[in-house]
Order: sequence, then C-alpha cells, then structure tokens
Amino acid sequence: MKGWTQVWRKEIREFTRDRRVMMSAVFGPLFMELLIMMLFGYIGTQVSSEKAQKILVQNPQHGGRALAALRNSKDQKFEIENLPEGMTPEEALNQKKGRAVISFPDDFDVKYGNDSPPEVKVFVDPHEATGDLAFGAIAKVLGEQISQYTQQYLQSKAIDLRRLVPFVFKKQDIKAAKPVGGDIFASFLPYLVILFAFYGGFSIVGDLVAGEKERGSLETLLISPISRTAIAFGKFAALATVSLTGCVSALVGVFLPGILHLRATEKLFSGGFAIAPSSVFALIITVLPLVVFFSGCLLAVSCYARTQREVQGYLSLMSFVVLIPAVFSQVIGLTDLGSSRWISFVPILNSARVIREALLNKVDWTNLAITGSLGIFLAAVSLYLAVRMFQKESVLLRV
Amino acid sequence: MQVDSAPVIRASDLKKHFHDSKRGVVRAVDGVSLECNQGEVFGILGANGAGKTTLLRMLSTILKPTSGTATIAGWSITEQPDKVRSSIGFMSTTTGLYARLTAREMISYIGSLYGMSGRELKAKVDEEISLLQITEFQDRLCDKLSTGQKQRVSLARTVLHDPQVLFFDEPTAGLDVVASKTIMEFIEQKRDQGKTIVFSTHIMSEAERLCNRIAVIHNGKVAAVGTFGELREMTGEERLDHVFLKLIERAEAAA
Repeated sequence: MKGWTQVWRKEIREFTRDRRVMMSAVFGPLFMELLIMMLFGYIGTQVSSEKAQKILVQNPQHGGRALAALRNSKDQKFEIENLPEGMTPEEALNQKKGRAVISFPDDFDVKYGNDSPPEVKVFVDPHEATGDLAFGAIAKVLGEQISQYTQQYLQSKAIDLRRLVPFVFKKQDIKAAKPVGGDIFASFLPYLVILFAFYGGFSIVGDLVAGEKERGSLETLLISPISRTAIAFGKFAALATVSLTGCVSALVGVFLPGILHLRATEKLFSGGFAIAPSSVFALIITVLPLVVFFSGCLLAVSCYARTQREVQGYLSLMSFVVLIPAVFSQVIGLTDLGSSRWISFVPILNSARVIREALLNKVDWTNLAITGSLGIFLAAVSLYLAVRMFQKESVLLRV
Repeated sequence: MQVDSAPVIRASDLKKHFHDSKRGVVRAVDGVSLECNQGEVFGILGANGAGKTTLLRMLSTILKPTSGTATIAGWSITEQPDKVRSSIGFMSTTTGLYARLTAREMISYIGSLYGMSGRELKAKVDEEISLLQITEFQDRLCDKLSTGQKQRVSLARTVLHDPQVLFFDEPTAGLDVVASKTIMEFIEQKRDQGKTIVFSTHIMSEAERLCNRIAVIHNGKVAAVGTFGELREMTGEERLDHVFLKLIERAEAAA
C-alpha cells in the first residue's frame, strides 16, 4: 500500500483547483442548505404568524351575531370583505379574491335559535391549503358561539351540561428528548446527508479513472512502482474526502443559522440548539461507512467506464437507486414502518432512519449496531470491488 | 556510438491474446522473442494494429502476457513487475499530463511515486527542469502549456528516476517538426548516455536515423530483425519503406 498518500495528496491538490469540486462539495451544499434553511424559516414564520385570514361574505346584512363574532374574535384574525356584487362564491375563489366565502341565508336572523336552524355555507377551494386554514379558523369561532348558545339554553332549562357529556379528553404532550433544532430537521436532514454523501463526489468521479484513460495519463501511473492497490486506494481516499466534505458542508449549512442565531431562521431553532454526544456518535457511525460505500461504488463505475461521458450515463441510472430509498426515508417517520426492525437491513434507508433518530436525540442502539455493521460490511465490499476493478486490465485498459 | 553486447531486455515467446465478442480471440502479440542490448536503440517497426503498443505495454508491465516471459534489466516482468517498473521509463504521444498541476508539480509527483522525497526529489526535479529548459514555464498549469512544452514535461517525468531502459511508443506521432526534433535529439542523447531504448514507430525516416537494430512486426509476429544493412540484404531493397513493405509481403505470404 506504499505510495497511496502521494496519489491522495495529488488528487486533493487538483480538486482544490477545480471549480466544479468546490461548487459541488463545498460552496454548493453550504449555500444551498443556508438558502433552504432561510426558506423554511420564512415559511415557518408565515404559517405560525397571526396573519389575518381574508374571507368574503355573501349577504352580510343577514349575518347578525355570527358575523359579529367573526369580526370581534380575539383568537382568530379575519379580514372581512363583502362578496363583490354579481359574483358567485366559486368565481371569487377561482379569482383568489379571498380564502373562503361565508354565505348567510336571507332568513338567518329570523331562524337563529329556532327549531329549524339556518344553514350557513362556507365555500372553500378543496385544492388550496389556505382554504382549509380559513375554514378551520371560521369553524373555531362559530363553533364557540354555538357552544355558548347551547350552554346558555341548557342553563335556562336548568340542565347541567356535564350530564350530557359521557367523558372529556385533552391532548397531553409527554416529556421527550429535545430534538436538534426542531422536528423539521429530522424530516429532511437525513435525506440531504445521504444525497451529499453520494453527490459530493459526483462531479469528479469521472475524472479519477475514466478521465485518466481519456487523457492517457493512466499509463504513467501504471508503470510507476507503486502497486495498483495503492493507486486505487489513493483515488478512493480522495473521492471519500470530497464526498465527506460535501456531507460536512451540508451539515454546517444547516446548523450554522442555529449557531449564529440568524433572525430569518429563529423559528426553526425556537426550541434551542443542542445535540447529544450519543447522536454525534450515531451520525459518525452511520455517515462514514455510507461515504465509503458510495465512494467505492462510484470509483468502480469510473474504472469500468471508457470515458467521462460514459461515467455520467451510469451514474444517472445509479442515482435512482440512491434517490428512491432516500426519498422514502423522508416519509418513513410518518408510518409504522419507521419503527420496524427490518428497515435496519435495508441499505440507505437504515442510515436515514438512524440519522433521523440521532437528530431527534433518540438513538436506538440496536438499530445503530445493525446499520453500522451492515454499513461497514457494504463499505468494505464496495472498496474491494473498486480495487479489484482497478487491477483488472480488461476493464482498466478497455478503450 | 558503442553498444554493449549484454542483453538488457530479453523477451521469449511473448503472447497476448484478447477475447473480443465480435472478432473472437485476437492474437495481438503472437510469440515475440527478441533481445536488446545496453546502449542500443531498438526499433519496433510496424503498421497500425501490428501489435507494437501491446508488446511495449507487456514489456513495461502494464499488461500481463498470456504466455511467454521477458526480463528487463534482469527482472522478470511477470515475477517482479515492481522492480521492472523502477528500471523503466515510458512515453508515448498519447501520454497526457494532469491539467491542474503545474509543470514542476507534475514532475515532482511522478518523482514521489518512485520513492523520491525531500532534497533528493527537489534536486532531481531542478536538474531535469534545467536540462529540458522548463524553467520558464515550470509554474504554469499543464493545461496552459503548448504541445512542445508538454512534450518537454513528459520527457522530464519519463527520465526523472534515471531508468536503465526507456520505452518510446510512437513518441512523435502527430507532432510538428520542431517538437519531433526535440524528442529525436533527446533519444540520441540518452542513447549516448548508455540507456537501452525501445523505440516503436511507423515513420521510416525516424527508424533509419535512430535505430541500431529494427524488428519488423506484422500481425503480432516478428517478421524480421536486424540492422538496417541486414534488412536491406534480406530484401534486396535500398529504401527502408521498400524494405518494410517487402518484409510484410513475405510475412503475409508465409501466413
């Protein structure tokens, strides 16, 4: 293995002078993550802010106490306007005049509190999330009014409300480990870590062996006295370094706003920023084998291909193998599958789950042990495969 | 020029067969035996596809022979390939440089692969840079060098570790007259220093100018070996291109 460090050093020196590598492994992940964080921060602020819901009212003159309750609500804010004359609720919603249209019947005031209660319609676009939000706010205010009316009515009839209710229930949050930053990290960060472990070295893998074949510089290496294993290992180490840099840059991009307390992302870190040592350990045990595994696979492809273009062709197909479990890993926490043991035996998916658990500061040591062991085994296999490929002259010298 | 009679390169019945899905078994080199002596420029003359490059790649341990063996400076190409590689330098026109390394870094990198480091490496690099007149552009990226400058850097990295044997695989193919002249003069200089040089080409004038002996290769086999005078005698032709064509015709007829 003598001489692999020379190969590694030379490759790293070249990478630092290659704009593509700097973009894909350093600045790209860093700034992209920062941008995503800002975006999430903005969305989070918008969703949680008490911004008034714009609603339109049809027949406001008949709205009476219900409309007054909406106008005077302290919990929910509404921007109430009359439905433009001659316009139907459907037209108003299609033209985005408001989030919902509330329609009072002509006899609303007359029938209010009578034996046949009047029907108030709330029109919303079922494909617009803002419509559901507006309906929720309206339902809360009007529901409270109905509830108050019911209580008053029952009291007037000397009936205790508690006699009519078989049981009551309420939501109670348990005391759980505080997630790193916020729950949002646990959902999308594993996906990004896996993506950058794979895509970090994407831009340079073609250069490493296939590029050397194209340039004719491979012969120079092959007639040097260092072994082919050492050459392959040096190249692999360089690729792994770049992929790991991509992962670290992505993580820095995510955590930097939390450390710097950036205003744009303060909502995301409202619960504080803390990561347990066990989580750091789990991240290392998971990410390192993953980087080695991907680097070995990528190098094997670069050895096999004749040209850099051919490498890109193979990698495009290979991307799907990485993307599908990585995408699935994003939603796995929403299903019961998320806690199934068998997922520990599915490469990539298992890594995503362990990363997710680590970010929630809830490391499952059995999952970590299985994922780590399998990761190390696969990493060793992919590295062995890459080195074998590099030694096969029928592969290495095919042009 | 004085040629030592001790053979530095000995090849015995070297064969390299490839399997091709369309053509079946391809006998790229088919039983080549030859000897090259110290201080000799040994020419390998053949048409495109004759097996010259495959032969040189086997001798330089890039490819493993299907059968047969060879020794370079006393080391077996199959048993001691690392020793062989320490004793040889290899250059062809297609050999590229690393675009994002400077000329000096490129030469130093190759030196480090040959186990040189520190002062020894710097001294050797300085020496080659000076000898090959690279000083002016030593800190320029290889990507920015002219073809002639690239050739000089290639020559420097080929001889940096002072190998006993040098392989040149069509080193002037595609080069202009000035760049070709540099390489020809460099080979002559190394020959005069007592290096054993294997020079593969299909350019007759170059073979005539440089080579002490020539092996004509056709379809992976040696059609004839000898000095230019001996080959002339064999064929009764004066010009080397006519000698070459006649030997090829004979080889075709004998096949």
